[in-house]
Amino acid sequence: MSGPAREGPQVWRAGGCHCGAVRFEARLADEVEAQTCACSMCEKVGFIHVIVPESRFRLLQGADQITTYTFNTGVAKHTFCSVCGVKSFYRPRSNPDGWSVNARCLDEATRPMLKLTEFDGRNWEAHAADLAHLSQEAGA
Amino acid sequence: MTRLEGGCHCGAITAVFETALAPADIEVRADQCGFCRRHGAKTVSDPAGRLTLRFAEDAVRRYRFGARTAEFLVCRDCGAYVASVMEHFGVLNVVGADIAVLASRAARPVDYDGESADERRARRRQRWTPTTLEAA
Repeated sequence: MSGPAREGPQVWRAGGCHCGAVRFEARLADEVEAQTCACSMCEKVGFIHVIVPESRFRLLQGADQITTYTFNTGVAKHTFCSVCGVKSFYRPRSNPDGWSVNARCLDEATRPMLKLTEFDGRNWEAHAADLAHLSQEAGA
Repeated sequence: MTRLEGGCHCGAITAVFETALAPADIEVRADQCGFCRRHGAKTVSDPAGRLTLRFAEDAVRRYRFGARTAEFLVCRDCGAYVASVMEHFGVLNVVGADIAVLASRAARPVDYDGESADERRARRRQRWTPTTLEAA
């Protein structure tokens, strides 16, 4: 699997929630793999996933405004802004060593092109391993 | 009569949308404002229908922004944006309320950026659904 995220120069791209309390940056190429997911959680928040390794994500502000929601196995940490409810990023169960950034929350001026695929989150166990490579650090 | 039930992920907010329209005849809209885009919202309403929202007041954040003419109901526990209300009118986010028969539909993009606050209120009174809030 050749992730376009590994091709071309990666730059820090900023994003955030609606009210401005939460701001983050993710290091992304001009074109990135992105997933929609049909699981009960992702559908309810319309999340579009851009999964990155730990080192390519940083929270700029809003740590004290973030609420964490967990359910089922509790591995995924569904983090959203406590003011506007927007989920800008979270710690996914498929990639607990990385982060999933919500493409909807990346600033429009610097948003990368998205190469969208559908992840079958209703059959999560059968498919989660397909995403594991996305949070691997380069050279790891 | 169509009766569609939904709610947020954790169940703190429940919604019932009743309309004489068949599901296929209900228009699904995707508002292009920054809030709705970030929530991936798709909304429905029917001025001849009825929307009932049930939640405990302390379980919900009533988020307001911009002209502050409506309240966007966001679950404090799971973060889902379920509905917006103004006066006794409301609009339901079928994505946040997980009403699959409508959430799976293509939505018509709408943009109300140019409206004044008065125009916005008038549009909502005309197009949104008469809404009842019930305490859970």
